[in-house]
Amino acid sequence: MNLTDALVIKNLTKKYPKVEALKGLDLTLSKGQICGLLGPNGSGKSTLLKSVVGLIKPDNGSIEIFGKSPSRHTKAMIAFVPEIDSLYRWMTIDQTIKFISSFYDDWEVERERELLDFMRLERDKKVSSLSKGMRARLKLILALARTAPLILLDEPFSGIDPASRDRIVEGIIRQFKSEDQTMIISTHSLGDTEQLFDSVIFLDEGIISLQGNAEDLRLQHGKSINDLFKEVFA
Amino acid sequence: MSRFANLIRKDLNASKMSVGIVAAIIAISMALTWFNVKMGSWHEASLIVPVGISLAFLPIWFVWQAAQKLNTEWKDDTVYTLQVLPVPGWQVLLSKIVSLWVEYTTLLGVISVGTFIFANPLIGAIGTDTPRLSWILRNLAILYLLSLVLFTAVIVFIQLSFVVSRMIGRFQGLVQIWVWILAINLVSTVGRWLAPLFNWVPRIPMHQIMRLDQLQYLVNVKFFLALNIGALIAVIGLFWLTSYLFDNYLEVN
Repeated sequence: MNLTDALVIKNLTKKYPKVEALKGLDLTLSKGQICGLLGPNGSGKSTLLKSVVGLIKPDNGSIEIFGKSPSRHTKAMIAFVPEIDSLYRWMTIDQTIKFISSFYDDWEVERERELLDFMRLERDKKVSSLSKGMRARLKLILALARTAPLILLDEPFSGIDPASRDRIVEGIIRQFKSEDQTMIISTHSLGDTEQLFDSVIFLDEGIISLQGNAEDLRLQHGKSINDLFKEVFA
Repeated sequence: MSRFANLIRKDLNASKMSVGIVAAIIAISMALTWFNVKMGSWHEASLIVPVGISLAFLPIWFVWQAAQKLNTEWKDDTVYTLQVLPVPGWQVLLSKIVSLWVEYTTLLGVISVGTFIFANPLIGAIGTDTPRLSWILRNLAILYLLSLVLFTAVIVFIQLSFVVSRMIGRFQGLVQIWVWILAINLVSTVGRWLAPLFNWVPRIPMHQIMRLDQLQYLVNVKFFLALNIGALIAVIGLFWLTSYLFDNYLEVN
């Protein structure tokens, strides 16, 4: 474990009854970057992120988050946004923010206000009355209002309208502090979000098929990450 | 502590609507019966009906709520939010127990107050000489505390059976029933095993504590505490086991 490493994963294996989601995956991610975790549906992206946050217990292998194994203490260091709607629908936006923020010491009220304004969400609206795009934006606020050293976003753009998608991308760019934070964004449809990534990992059926600095890969292959994604997973 | 309090507040807020509706139904049915008795349409004995139905309904509703507290987190996918919070599993589970205590107390309070207001003649029927109000309140408090202990054990069984069934992931209903049966069996067995260790604890003369001698009937109730201490230890052990499984083996998929 290097002091500059945010995440070190060794020989990570996870089997479900009908499929092997992760097949001895090795990964080292250094601090201060936005990493794109790319792969088609079922490639193991969500399983990998859930294993890091501790929602899933791997069968084999090890995970170290800033040198620590996943536990309650590492949960305090991670801001995780799951793909599915995990918000309490009966709560208002304000209640949701108050509830979540009370569990984290790294919550910044100023960032919260700024993000709410930027994402154009009103505090008194009920979660159940929000559109999918608005709920995605709220989930992002819950992650970005913190100064968590590791941010994991699982398919944040999935099924989102283009306007919300642009807001989310811009929100990430504005709030990400590369000197203190590391971010992993998983997606199966790259679109115009490749500008976000400093590095990319191509995950295919539980193993890494390609990994590297985004700019280096562009130069090396002479094409955009989006085109490379289409080629690898064609 | 504030995190734990927030978990309790969240659970209470989630169920305030259903508790409010049930409380309103109880109060309205009592008031309606009282009104009909007052108008002479119904016999005075019918005052017992809403009280009896409410008291019979309460444990069923309570068990249902206990099962729903965890089940809803999975059904609504909010378990993703809950499981990534940096809090130990025992706090999550205990917050649900505490919120159930509050809900139970609220509804029992509504039934008690409703009985005093709308079904007062029933209280007079308890004995030949109408017991004093302090006697009734004292005994209600004792019964309330005893029922709270019993219901807490029931919640622990429900939580354990739910967590185990989620861990296994298949035949969840069947697994829950089996775990439930095993848990009850374990608690009673451990209670019997440990009873000799606590034989020095005197039997509690409940008839004296509850002053049942003020009734017209001779009632003699002694509480064998030694057996229950062992069972209580077993219930606490099961709660610890549930928390451990919740933290270390439960997956969210």
